[in-house]
Amino acid sequence: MKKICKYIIKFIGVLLAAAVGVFGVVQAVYWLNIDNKIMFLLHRLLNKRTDRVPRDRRF
Amino acid sequence: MAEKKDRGTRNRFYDGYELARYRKWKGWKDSWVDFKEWLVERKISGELLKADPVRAFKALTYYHWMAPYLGSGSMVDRTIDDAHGEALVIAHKYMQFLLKSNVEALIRILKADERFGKNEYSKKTVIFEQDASPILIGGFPNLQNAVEEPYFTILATANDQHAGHYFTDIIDSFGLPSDSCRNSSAVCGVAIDDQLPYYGACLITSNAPCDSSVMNSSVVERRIKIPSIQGCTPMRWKDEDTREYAIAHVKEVIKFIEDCTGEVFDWDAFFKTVRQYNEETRIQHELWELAKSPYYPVPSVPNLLYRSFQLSFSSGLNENCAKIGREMLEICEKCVREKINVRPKTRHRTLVCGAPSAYYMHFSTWMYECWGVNTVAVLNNMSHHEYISEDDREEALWGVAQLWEQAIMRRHLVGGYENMLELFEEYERFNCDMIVFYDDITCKGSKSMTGMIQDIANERNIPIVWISHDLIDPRAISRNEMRKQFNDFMFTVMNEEPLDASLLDFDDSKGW
Repeated sequence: MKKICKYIIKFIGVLLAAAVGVFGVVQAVYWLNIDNKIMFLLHRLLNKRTDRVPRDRRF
Repeated sequence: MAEKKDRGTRNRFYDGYELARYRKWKGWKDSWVDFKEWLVERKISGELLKADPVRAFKALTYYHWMAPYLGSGSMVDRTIDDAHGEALVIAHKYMQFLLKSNVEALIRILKADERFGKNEYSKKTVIFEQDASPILIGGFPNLQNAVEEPYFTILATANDQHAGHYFTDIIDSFGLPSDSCRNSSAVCGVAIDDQLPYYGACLITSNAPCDSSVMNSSVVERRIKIPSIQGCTPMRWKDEDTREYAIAHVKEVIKFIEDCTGEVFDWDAFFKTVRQYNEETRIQHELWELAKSPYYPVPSVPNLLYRSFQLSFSSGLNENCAKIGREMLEICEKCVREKINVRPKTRHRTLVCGAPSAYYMHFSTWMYECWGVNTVAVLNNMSHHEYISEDDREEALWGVAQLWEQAIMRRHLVGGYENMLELFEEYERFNCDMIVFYDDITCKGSKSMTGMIQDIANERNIPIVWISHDLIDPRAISRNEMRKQFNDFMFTVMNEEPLDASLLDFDDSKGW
């Protein structure tokens, strides 16, 4: 019984630590504006790519 | 050792860019609200990839107008920068409506795009050009609408200031005049550069907002390989004699859609859409009543975007629109009733007129942060606000015609000079003490009126500032040049000092 309780407490501890870790990472992404920085770089890469696509230009 | 450059509020931005190093601290409560709503917004943006990852990837690597959508998160940040308390909640809700409708519309377009493979959706899609309302699709429950041009030009440029001129350069290189409306030019550029999606059962072109749209319609029609009809309603829209022609034309458009798709117009479904549209309109009228109060909490830019794209994204077709409107109304009523002031920096209440610059949609945010000039009303938003009959067929079709005639940017630009002079009535109605006029240098309609409007403003002793811009090309008049025009006016005419001097002069010309 004691052993089971120990495992349950350990499991809850791991879950809590994981939740705090995920929350911390998401907070870091938010506060350091990491999402927008990544999107900005991706946007530049995509623009380079779409500039090179051969197109049927006519009027 | 070089001294660390202190640029005040601009410290958190990279030099030359509208990209922040870190987010703004808004206090515990507001920062928590901001964080929660940010998560919701990221989830909405992710839905585009979730719906069809392969098509989304192909579109992102083919269409030049798609990539700016990666900047939508930054655009939301820019437009809500001045919002606190209830204003912050309202701003986020409005922007979430815009993001969600935008993503849903893009999903519809990508699913139907035959460039990336045959599909069943293409022949069930009716394309509406420029800012024509898709309300008629309410009468065809088995069909879907696509109002695509905002994505190529205005919204893409709102996300990334350099998105639009890529296309205007193409049209200029083909020898077409470069002094025409930049929005229409950019749409032509999209067509000539083979960047229109291949889809649709038929295309309804329009003469909204003005005759420059007719020019871009002809270029789009040449490239698009589906049947099209001109959904042109009378320019002299105040003239009652045009009513018969306008109704006949709407009937013609319905018949055209029926012929192209094999569907039959369902009046019951149409009236259901009309009721929804009327509800959206009623909410807007009530919001305008509240806007007369000094405690009106709505920040201008999210409201401007919501109201502008309500026509394309909803017109009674999107249930979310009225739902969000009702929520906003409740918050606004509470602020006015309990006299909660969430715009404490306000020194002036201004009416904004003319087409706002797409590459600087958040100009009003800057005006408030730097000078305490609070935009309480936007003349362009005083469009598409007539109720439509919910039971009489002929009257309802007249209502649809009026909706097209009085679309955003069209109501005040065509049909006679007196329409634009409505700005002085609205100035009085919203208890403003100054007018900001966006002077789009390629808009002939508004350009021709500048002298008359200035004279009337002088006679009535109304401070009016003209902010020249090039709609979607920041290389002609940059954001900083727009700010300088406003700064000069505030220093010399109003004799005032800024609230935040670090925002007077800075460079943000390089990206987003």
